[in-house]
Amino acid sequence: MSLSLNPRLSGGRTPRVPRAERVRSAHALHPGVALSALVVLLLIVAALWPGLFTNQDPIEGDPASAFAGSSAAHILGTDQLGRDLFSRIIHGTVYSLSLGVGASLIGLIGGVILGVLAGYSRGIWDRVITRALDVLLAFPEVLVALLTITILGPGQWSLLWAVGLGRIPGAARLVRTQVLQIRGSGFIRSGIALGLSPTRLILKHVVPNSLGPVLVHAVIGVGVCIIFGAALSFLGLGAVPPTPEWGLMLSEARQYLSIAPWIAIWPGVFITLTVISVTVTGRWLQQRFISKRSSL
Amino acid sequence: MTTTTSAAAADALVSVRDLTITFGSHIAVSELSFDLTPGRCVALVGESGSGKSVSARALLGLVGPGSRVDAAELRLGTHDLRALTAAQWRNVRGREVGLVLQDALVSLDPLNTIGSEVAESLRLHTGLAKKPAAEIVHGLLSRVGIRDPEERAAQYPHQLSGGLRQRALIASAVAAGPRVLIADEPTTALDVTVQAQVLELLAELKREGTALLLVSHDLAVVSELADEIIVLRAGAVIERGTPAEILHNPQADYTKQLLDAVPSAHTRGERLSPLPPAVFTRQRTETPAAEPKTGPILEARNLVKSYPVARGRRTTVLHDVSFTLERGKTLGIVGESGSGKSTAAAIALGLTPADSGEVVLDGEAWSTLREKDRRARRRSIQTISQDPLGSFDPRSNVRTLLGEALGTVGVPRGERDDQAVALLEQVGLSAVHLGRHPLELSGGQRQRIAIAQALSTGPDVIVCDEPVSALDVSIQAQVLDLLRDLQEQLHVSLLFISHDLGVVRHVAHDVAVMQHGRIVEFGETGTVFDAPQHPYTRDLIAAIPTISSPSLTI
Amino acid sequence: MSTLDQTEAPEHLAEVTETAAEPAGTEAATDPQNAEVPSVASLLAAASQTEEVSRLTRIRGIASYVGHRLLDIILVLWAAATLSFVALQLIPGNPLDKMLSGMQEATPEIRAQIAAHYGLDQPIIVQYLTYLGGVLRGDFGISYQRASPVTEVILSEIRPTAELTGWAILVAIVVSVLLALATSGRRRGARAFAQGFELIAVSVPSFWLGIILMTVFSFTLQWVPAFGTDGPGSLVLPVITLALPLIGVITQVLRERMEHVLHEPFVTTIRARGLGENRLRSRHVLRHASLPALTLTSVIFGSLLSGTAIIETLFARPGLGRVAVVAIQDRDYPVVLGFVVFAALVFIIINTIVDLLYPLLDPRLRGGHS
Repeated sequence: MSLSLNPRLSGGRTPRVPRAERVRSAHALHPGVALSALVVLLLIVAALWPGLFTNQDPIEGDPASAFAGSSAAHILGTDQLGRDLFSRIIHGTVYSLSLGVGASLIGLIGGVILGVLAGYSRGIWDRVITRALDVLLAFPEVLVALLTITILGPGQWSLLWAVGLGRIPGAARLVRTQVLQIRGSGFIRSGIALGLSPTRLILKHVVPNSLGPVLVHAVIGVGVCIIFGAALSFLGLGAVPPTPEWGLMLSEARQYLSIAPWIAIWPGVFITLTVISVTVTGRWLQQRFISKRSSL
Repeated sequence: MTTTTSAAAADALVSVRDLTITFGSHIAVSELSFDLTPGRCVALVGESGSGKSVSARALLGLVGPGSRVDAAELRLGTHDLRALTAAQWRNVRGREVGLVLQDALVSLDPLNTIGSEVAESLRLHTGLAKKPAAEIVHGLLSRVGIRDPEERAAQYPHQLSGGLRQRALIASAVAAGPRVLIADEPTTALDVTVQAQVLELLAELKREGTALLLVSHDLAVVSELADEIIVLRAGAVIERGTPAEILHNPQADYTKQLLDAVPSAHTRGERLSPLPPAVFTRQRTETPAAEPKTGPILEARNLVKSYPVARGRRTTVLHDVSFTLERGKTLGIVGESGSGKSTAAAIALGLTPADSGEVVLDGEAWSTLREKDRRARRRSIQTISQDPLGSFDPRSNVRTLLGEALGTVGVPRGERDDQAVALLEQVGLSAVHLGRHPLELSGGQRQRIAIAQALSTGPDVIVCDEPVSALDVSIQAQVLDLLRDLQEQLHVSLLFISHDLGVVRHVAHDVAVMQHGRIVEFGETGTVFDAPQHPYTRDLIAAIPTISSPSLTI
Repeated sequence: MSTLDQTEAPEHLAEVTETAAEPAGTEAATDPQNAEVPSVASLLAAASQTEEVSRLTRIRGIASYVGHRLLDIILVLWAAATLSFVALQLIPGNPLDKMLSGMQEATPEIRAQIAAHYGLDQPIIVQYLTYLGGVLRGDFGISYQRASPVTEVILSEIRPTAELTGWAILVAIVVSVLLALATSGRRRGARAFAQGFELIAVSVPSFWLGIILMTVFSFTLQWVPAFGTDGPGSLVLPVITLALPLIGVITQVLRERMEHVLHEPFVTTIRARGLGENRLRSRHVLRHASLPALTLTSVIFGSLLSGTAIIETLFARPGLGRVAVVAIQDRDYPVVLGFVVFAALVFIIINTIVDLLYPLLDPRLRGGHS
């Protein structure tokens, strides 16, 4: 083999930026990040104590005041049943946030277990699990979600599982790739040469080093899950009326677009805002704590 | 400072006066001056961070973002390089000055054939159509010594050998006929025999009238080509002169240190670095066997190893390899890339099983053991690799790295920190490094940590796989001295794998020369180097660029 | 498939994967901007790329490759069919009850007759084998609601969906490539714009975007029709709505990869030849970045799949997505399961085609080193 394996010096190097500068640019709290973190904080408060923001009933409305525009009594107006839109949105926060976090966690836990098994099993099990995972990976998330909803029927809980289970194959794939890479890496070889036991190597070195990408996947996945859950609710496959779920609210508002577009606009604004804030904050947290020392 | 440049200044193709390059507050180069004239070669020599590459890039306007380039004069032909627009730069690059980087595998676009790579700058600057350009490309390829140019032009960089690739890279740099060629570490990634051929090609271009700016970390490489050498350190010119002046009568202390640090035949048994010797104490606490064992500490017997390549096909990387490592001695294994030396090291470490043959450690079976049984004895054979960063868990700091290693030999948790500090001090570091992450350490410091980690189990053998290949020469000198100190004081045996014959000649008591998975020559170091029996060994030795090469005696 | 064990891998294999994967450490050290967090899409891309690369390197020879892929297709189809069948069995309640929910007075005789007609009176294992046999022949049973074969239902709805997704993906690729070319490794402003756009594009729910577009361009400005499939104008809003999130994801990966590639040594070589920045990107760098973008296939396919369901519902277009959604709402299980198996089949066929594209794009993946 004529290819040289010795990366004696890296070619075409660009000059190094002093480390201190790099650290500063990576950890500085950008105003956008600060704003996102504030929004996330407010959303969490709204999810836990919606009463702090509004005292109007999100479920029972006054049909007489349906389709009212923005006013002092109803900041964002009312919907087709005369319910206060702002109150419904605030009370809907808990559904979106818990779905995002819960589904992402299901994906993370399932993905880590399957991925580590697939990446670290040997012999015949290696083949069986890897093969099974390959087949499972061939299923797009949506199909897993559709099957789950078909089995469990619509509703908040089945939505959680539908979205969460759909995340597992992707997460497992990330973990498996990472485990395979780490397993063959220099420090695992040197760990073996040092005489470390296989259990210690797997638990203390392979697994922790394999988690970086899947944690990113999970953190940013919160936003993805929120959108996906809202989409399924929008299609009538998730939350059921009169739940103030944002996707469902949008779906119901569709019929009244020409007379009361705000009923459809505001829930969408909140979904977008939530996803952007969660993603920006999540990326910053990840940058700060997860990828700091990982080999990413 | 500029005494040697004045004569040439008039007909200079390139004139650089007081070049200063800064990145923010960091000064990369300050007040560098030189001239390039046709048929002559100026060499910028220095260790990493010396600013040699950045200086060369200034002639191409490719210093990089965030930089500031100042000069009293920066001229190439008729162009004032300080005031070129982006479009004017594009006209200069490739047409008037060409660039050759190290390692064509990554310096040529891997997705393009070498023919189209060479054609690109040709067509860009001549506007030739595809067909006529192709013919010129074939001519260029054969001019740089590539046979069957039509066939080669259709191949991709990864399909060619390192030497051919590098020739193709040079062809692409000279395609549009620049009169100035910048070669930045042009032979650094190459095997020594190939390196000699590429240097000869560059010398030929120089003879044909190309002005050459050579950038290298290696004084020996430079000495064969350069008419003037400029030694740089941290952006400052330390010394300049002809090769004879610099190599045989250096004035600056730094140049002397650099020259002293180069391991070779003359340095055997001498210290390479100005640092004082290290003091080692044996780590293992248990009482040694009453009767010291005799016989070789490590013995490889008829190792054979092959890997599957495609379905049913296998390639054999080790054919019947045997060697012995004597107690307290160093066995050097030299060979070019792909010779199988690293596979041999992996088998000796019990990390890769051999297809047949065995490795015997301290008179007992080793490579044939099951991993479970081997683990208890691993403390007696440790390793240092070329890339310490890759051999440390990225999540660890120095404390956990050493602590874990000490844990394998049963050092109780409470005593690990103290012992780790003791180890750090032995390798020339101190307690302040305990909390550091390997990324925060320099290459030399990392290699010291790797040595400390290896010593923590009190080994009898340390397998060193290219331990100094990634280090600057002065750091290399320190690490080689450290290895020698620890061998003298702890009587550790070293299996030392390297592509660098100078290094091996300096450290090894015995040498095994490997080629294509076979040991072609094995013997006492002096004998092998002074009276090589095998033709391959003779080729290798002849190809070493030496500072006292006859071409230099002007 | 065997796992890639580096300790066992011959040197040249290690090298191919090494050059294909990037030296992350050096990059982080040299470029503060790239120390930034990788997107999930790029993580997935990187993950599947290393997998694909190692898979392709190991499987040499077209014949053995085709064999493996065929086996893959069969396995996935079997798994999809089995999963679907299991799902059917797991659904609480007797399928007969659901089927007959519309009929007021179903006598036991009628029930038995219908059960026999749908094969529901057979033992489970027989039903399973019958179902598998059906899938092999392209027969997914009969829709409960439409009373026509599932295959017919699916085939009749393919056209509008194919039209919608085809245009969306074309638009997405063209726009993404242009955006990535224009913004990768450029000035701060361009970068910030690109990053902001990518974030918004992937964060805006497409059903909401569709509603907004509809309100503005159909109801207010009346430029294009909001609903239905009349004329090419009716495709404009659905295509934009479907393409936008794709543009976000693809641009992100392309841009990140191009910025990475722009730090490779060969880029310096090319710049030193005098090639301009635009041509450098379009002739060299884009091709390098397209490889990881290819591995986004599964992300893109998933996005299209859920996207069509939403958009066909929102814009009242016929199509497969709409069929699947209605089928789930109506508990028309044979249609749902037929859709799942069909989608899995399409997905694996697309994946196979994409796998065959890798060696075309990257000569290092075409076996047979010299």
